[in-house]
Amino acid sequence: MDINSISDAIPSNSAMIVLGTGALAARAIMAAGQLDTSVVTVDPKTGAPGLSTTPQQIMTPADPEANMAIKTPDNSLAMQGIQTPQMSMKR
Amino acid sequence: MLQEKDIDVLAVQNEPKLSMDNLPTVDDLPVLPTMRHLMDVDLAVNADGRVYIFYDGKIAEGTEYALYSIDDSSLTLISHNGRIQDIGMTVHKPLRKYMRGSDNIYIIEMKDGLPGRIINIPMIIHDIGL
Repeated sequence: MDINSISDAIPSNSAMIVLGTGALAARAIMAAGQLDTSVVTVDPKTGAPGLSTTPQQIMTPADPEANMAIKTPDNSLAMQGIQTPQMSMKR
Repeated sequence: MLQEKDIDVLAVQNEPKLSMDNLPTVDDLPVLPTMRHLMDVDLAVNADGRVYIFYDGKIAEGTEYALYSIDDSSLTLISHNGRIQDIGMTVHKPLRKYMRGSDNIYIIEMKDGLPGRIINIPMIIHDIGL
């Protein structure tokens, strides 16, 4: 049976479990206007479920430089050659 | 004495690409390569008990029903002329409860990021308790 619109196929924002990357499902959910649908992706290889997220978050590419901006006070001192108490204790 | 011919299994093969618009007869090609081999595919279930396949390529003509095998955790599409195509992914545990409770599946084509043809077909559940 042919379905006329994506809204008929996805009429609600009930939570969804997706096996695969989730990119196609996320696009379809967004096209159906169910933006606040909670989506859990499952890795096809391991079967391990990921964290609950939204379609928009799935479609947002990860920023590869995001982690590089995080500096703890300790390691920023260490980068300047100053020993912190924690570093001394490890020795 | 016949001369032994070298074979090179690592050599690039120039096999013709499978065209879904011009498939050989079912007798010649009863089983298609898996969907995941040919295209991007997501299998999804929601809390309302709906089951979806989202895909961005071409599936066999006249897909008539789906077969979910609980025994080997597989999902296969079967066309009206009997051609079969597995999705190419194991149906893992988090999805099984919802798959088991459904009797139909939405097959949703995604074209350039937008929904294309959508069909709803019966899903037969196969469980012999292996």
